[in-house]
Amino acid sequence: MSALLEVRGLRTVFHTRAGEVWAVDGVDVEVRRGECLGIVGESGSGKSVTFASVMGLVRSPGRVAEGQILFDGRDLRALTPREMRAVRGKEIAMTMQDALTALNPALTVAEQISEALEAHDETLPTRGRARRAAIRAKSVEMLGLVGIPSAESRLRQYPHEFSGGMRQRIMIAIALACRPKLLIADEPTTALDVTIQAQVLELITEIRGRLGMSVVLITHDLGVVAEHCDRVMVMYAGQVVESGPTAEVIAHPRHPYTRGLLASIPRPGLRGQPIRPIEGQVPDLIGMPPQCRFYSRCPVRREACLAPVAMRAAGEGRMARCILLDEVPA
Amino acid sequence: MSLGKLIERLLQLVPVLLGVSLIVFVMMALTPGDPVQIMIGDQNITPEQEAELRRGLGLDRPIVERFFVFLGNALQGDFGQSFYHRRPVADVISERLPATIELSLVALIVALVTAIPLGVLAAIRKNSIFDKLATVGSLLGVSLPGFWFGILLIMLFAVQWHILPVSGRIGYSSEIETITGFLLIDTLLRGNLPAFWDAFKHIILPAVTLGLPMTAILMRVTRTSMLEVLRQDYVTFADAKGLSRRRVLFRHALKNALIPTVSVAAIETGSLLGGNMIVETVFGWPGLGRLVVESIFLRNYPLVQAAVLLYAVIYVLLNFFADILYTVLNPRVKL
Repeated sequence: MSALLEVRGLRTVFHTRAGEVWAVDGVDVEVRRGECLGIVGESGSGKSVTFASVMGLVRSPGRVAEGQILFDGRDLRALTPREMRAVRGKEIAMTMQDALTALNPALTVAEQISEALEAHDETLPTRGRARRAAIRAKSVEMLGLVGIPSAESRLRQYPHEFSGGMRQRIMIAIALACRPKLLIADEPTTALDVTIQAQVLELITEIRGRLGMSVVLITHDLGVVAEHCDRVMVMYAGQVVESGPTAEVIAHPRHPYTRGLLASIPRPGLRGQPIRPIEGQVPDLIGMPPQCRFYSRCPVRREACLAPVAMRAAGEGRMARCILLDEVPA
Repeated sequence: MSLGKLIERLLQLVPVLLGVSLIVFVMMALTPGDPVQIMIGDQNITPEQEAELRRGLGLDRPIVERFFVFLGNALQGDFGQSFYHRRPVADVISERLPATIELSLVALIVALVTAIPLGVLAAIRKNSIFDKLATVGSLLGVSLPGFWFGILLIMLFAVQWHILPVSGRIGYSSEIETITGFLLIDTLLRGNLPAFWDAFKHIILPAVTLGLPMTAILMRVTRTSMLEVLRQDYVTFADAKGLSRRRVLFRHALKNALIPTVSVAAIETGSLLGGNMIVETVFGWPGLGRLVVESIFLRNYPLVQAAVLLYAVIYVLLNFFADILYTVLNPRVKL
C-alpha cells in the first residue's frame, strides 16, 4: 500500500543574524496509512520543524528551501496558500505541546471547535439554524469522543475553566473535528502530569483505531514511542539518524546516538547500574561542516566520519546514518 | 461584577475628590491675582463698595473657613455662583459640557478608527516601509504640540484652501434649538441635514487635533500587542486548523491584541480632557475647556473648582470603565 505521507529531501532553513540555520537538512519521512510513527529527538533536533514544514506553518525568518512533500498523492509544496488551507485542519491536523497556550484564551471552546467545522465540513447544512444545530451536535460529539463529561454545558466555557488534562483533550477534539487522515501530535504529553499522560496517549491510540487515521507522535520520550508507535524515526541535529520498526530499533539500535539515548533511560531491570548520559552538547547548526553530525559526541568515531554520511540500509525496513554499518554486518 | 465591588469602587471616589478639591482650592488661593480687582478693572468705586463686593463673594473670610464652606455646599450639590457670570456654576458648566463631550467623543472615534487598522497593518507588515512610516508618524503625533498642529490645520484647510471653517461649532445661519446638546445628533433629530453637514465640518479640525496624540499612542500599543499575540501558540494552532487568514488575524489575534489597546484608550480618554483646554481655545470651541481657561484668567474660583472636580470624577469613572471593559474582553479576569 502506498504511503499516506512521503517526504523526500526536505530542507528547511532559518535566516538568523548569526547566519543560516538548516534546522531540517535532507529529511525523508514516510507515514503509512493507519500507522503510528514516532519521531524522537532532543530539543532542536528538527522534529517539530519537519512537521511544521509539512503543514506549511514555517514562518519567517524560516523557509522550506528544498524537498518534496507528497500527501495522498499530492505535492503539498506546489499548492497555493488557499489550497493548503483546505488541507490543514481537514486532512492533516496538528496538536501542540501545551494546550493552555494553543487554545485561544478569549474564545469559548464552542467557538474554537465549530470554526474548524465551519471551515472544512462540507456535509453540514449550508445555512441557518440547521447548520448551527449540526455544528453544535458535532462539537458535542467530538467532546464526547475525547471523554469530556457533560459536553453540552461545557461548550460555553473558556479554556482557562478546564484542567490541564481536559484542555489537552479539547485540543485533540478540535484537531480531530474534521476527521483528518493524519494527526501530527507534537509532544502531546510533555506539559502533563504522569497519570494524565497515559490517559491522553491511550485516547490518541484508541481514536486512531476508531477513525483509521495515521498518527505522527513527536516526543523526546522513548518510553512513549515503545508503547504506542509502530515505527520510529530518530532525529539528531536536523537529520534522521535511524528509522525502523519500534521494537527492533529499541532492541537493536544501529546508530550510536540511538544507543546513547537508550542507555540514558533509567530502567527497572537495570537497577543499581548508573544511568549513562550522552557526553557533550548538540552541535551548533550554524556553519556545520558536512560530516557526521554526531561526530563530536560519538564514542566510536573515526577519521572517515568527517566525510558526509548518507543513510544506509540496516536490515529489514531499517535505515541508519552510520558508516560503521558497512563494517559490522547486521 | 457584584454590587459590592461597584459600591467599593464608587467609595474610592470620596478620598480622590477630597484630595483634588483641597489641592485645587489651595492652588487657586496661592495664585497671584485678586478676583475682586479683576472684576473692578478700571472702574472707579469706593473702598466701601469694594469691601461689599468682597463680602458678597465670601472672599472676606479666612481661607480655611472658605474651604469648609465650599466643601459643605458642594456636598449639597451647590458649587456656588460664578463670579463672572453671576449665575450658579452648575448651570454654566452644564451649558458648556455637551460641546466638550461631543468633541472628545468624536476625537476618540477618530483615534480608534485610524489607530487600530494602522497598528494591525504595521504589525503584519513588520519592518516594511509602511511600518517605518507609521513609526515616524506616531512619533510626530505624540510630539507635535496641539496648539501648533491646530493652527497649522487652520492655516491649511481654512485659510489657504477654504475647505473647512476656521473656528466655532456651527455657522450662525445653521443654528438650531438644541435637544441633547450634541449638535451632530440634534441636527439629525431635527432633520436639518445642511446644519448637520455644517456642524460636521466644524468638528473635523478640532477633533483631528485633539485625537492626534491619542491616535499615535493607540497605534503603537496596537502594533506592539498585535506582534506579541501573533507569536502565540494559539495563532499557530488557528493556522493549523486551516482557517482563513482574515479569521486568524481578526478573530484570534486581534481580539486578544485589543485588550491592552482598549485599556489604554479608556485611560487616555481622560487625557483628552486636558487637551480640550488647548484645542478649544485654538478653535474657539464653546466647551468646558475654554471656559476653564477663561475662568482661570478671571480668577473665577468657584467655576474652576467645580470644573476640576468634574474632571476628577470623569477621570475616575473612565478608569473604572476601563476595568470593566478589560474583564469583558479578557474572560480570564474577574473583577
